[in-house]
Amino acid sequence: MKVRTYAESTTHELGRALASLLVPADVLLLSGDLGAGKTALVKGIAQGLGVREPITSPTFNILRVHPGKLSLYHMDLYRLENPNQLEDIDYFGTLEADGVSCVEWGDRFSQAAPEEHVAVAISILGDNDRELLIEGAGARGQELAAQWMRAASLLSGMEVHL
Amino acid sequence: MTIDDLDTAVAIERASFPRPWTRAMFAEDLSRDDRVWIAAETGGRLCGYAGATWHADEAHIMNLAVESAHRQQGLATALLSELLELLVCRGVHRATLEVREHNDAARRLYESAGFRAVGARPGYYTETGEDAVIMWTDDLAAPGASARLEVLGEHAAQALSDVPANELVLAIESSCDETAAAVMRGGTELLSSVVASQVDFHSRFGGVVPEIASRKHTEAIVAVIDEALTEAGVGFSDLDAIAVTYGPGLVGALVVGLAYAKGLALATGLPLVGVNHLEGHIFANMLADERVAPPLVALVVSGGHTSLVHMPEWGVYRTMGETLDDAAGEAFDKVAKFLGLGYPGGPIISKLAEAGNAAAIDFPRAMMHSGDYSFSLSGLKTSVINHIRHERDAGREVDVPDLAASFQQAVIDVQVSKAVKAVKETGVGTFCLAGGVAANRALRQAMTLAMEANGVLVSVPPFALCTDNAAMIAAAGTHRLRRGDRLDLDAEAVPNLRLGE
Repeated sequence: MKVRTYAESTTHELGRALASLLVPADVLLLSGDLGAGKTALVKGIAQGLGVREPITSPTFNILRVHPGKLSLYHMDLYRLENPNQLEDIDYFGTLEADGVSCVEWGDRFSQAAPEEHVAVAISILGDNDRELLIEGAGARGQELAAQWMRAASLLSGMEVHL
Repeated sequence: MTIDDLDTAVAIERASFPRPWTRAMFAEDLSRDDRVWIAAETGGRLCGYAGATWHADEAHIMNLAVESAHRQQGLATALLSELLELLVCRGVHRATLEVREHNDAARRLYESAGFRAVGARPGYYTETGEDAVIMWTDDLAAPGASARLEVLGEHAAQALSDVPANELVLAIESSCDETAAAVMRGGTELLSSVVASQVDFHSRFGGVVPEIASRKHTEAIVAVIDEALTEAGVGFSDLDAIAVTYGPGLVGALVVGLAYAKGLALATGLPLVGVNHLEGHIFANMLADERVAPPLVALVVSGGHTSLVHMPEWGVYRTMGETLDDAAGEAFDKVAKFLGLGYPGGPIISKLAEAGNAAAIDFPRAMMHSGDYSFSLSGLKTSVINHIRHERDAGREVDVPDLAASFQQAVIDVQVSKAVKAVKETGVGTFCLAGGVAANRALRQAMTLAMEANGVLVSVPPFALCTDNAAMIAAAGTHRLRRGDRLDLDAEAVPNLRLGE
């Protein structure tokens, strides 16, 4: 499934639409070049989850926990050098915890993908144009991806290809 | 002091004075806004208090009492000096009080704070027939008087604390990548400072490179602390206190240093002091330059932080603004990475920028005119990346030095403009540039130029103190120790800890 957006604010809206569908232990794996809009999408999700504090970059701290209607675990694997370090940061424990995980650079290690997840790959097509490739894995991941895209097709400012 | 304290206050009052204040008198007084009341507590329970009323530039000290079990510890001196400082902040220049003529201890206390006997009210205390001695201060806001108050307050705080002067403090820092320990005497004399990424350390301990992993901190921490003690020539039994960073930072990393510090405090019975990592960076400036003291404004810029902090007095912090997205150092790293220049990005970009034209590309100065102290660097990062893509798509070679210089200038312009605004608004005379990005030469120069134009003292620590270390935690920890701050043994790491909370 693909979504085409033409402004950062639309990517943000897409995040907000996803927030209302999320349940504890849902995992979103985000990939895309620097500046693609991974954090913009997470900001939208955070707003939808009722997170009040600013969503600052997790690159340095690796994990930031934001309290909301559901806890948001915002992770960034950018600085990790090898998959052994996933254990060091209690990555798998966090994914299974009682909140929603958004993992930037979540495609960095094949071991990083849990069975159930939604993968979002963002490509930069122009200064403000982005294409988001969305794939659900596992029963819950596929269900969530499909629900999300149905919700997105009702929004304006983006093109959804189911 | 609040209404909840009144039962205890009335009990102290009855035990202290022949003519005690009643509960109703306290309650009425506490509700008035031309009064200042301050309290001293021990174990969460009131053990002393002081109150004054003021009008225009004159104040009247109405009451000062300390529970008998806590007398002779400097508590009354601390209460008096604190009360006078608060009054001076409200515009008071002179203060007066009445004291029983035979209360020698009280008269000595007031004289030490600058009060002089100027007259008497004969037979004022009818219960004993004693005269009241009327005492007045000279101008409290005059430079000599305020310095004396400060010294008095420091001596009192020292006397109050459960540690001796020239205290020996072991400090532990593990908030991010570095495992570090330091031993310091008296808050300034550094006996050792070990950072686990030091080259000689690696070779001695088998090439342990602590990365982001708490496991790596766990592996390194015992050896790092042993090394710090050995280098200082001291053992655990020589220490007077333990200071540890408890936030902000990576939770898995913070807990390692904190767990070690708590364990050591439990085993040795030594007091444990918690330090905010950003506060540590500000104290690095004080270690490097003894003229640096509050009131000041500090900009802490590093790979993980971009925070503008107002420190009006010792122990008081107000976070004026922070980044809403990426930290300054992170923006440097990400741009360098995108250009394939390596890590860390700061030194590489600043080197390249020296050969480039800072006005070549007009990158956005985000939030420059937002009117507040928030920073945003994510948009700048995206603009730089878009620029590179456009050049490549057009088949042009990216002029890397021009790009580096223009990007760096955009970062610097915003940092300088916000810092200058903060210094002007708070009216402070001292500015500290702190954290790893403070090593950026162009930023140092721009900041120094802008601040000196405003007559402000600028402090930039040497590079070794800019990056994470435990010496700065020891200095900040010693200050907290003297103020009586203690961390409970069940305290937890606070990854999002903000200064002033």
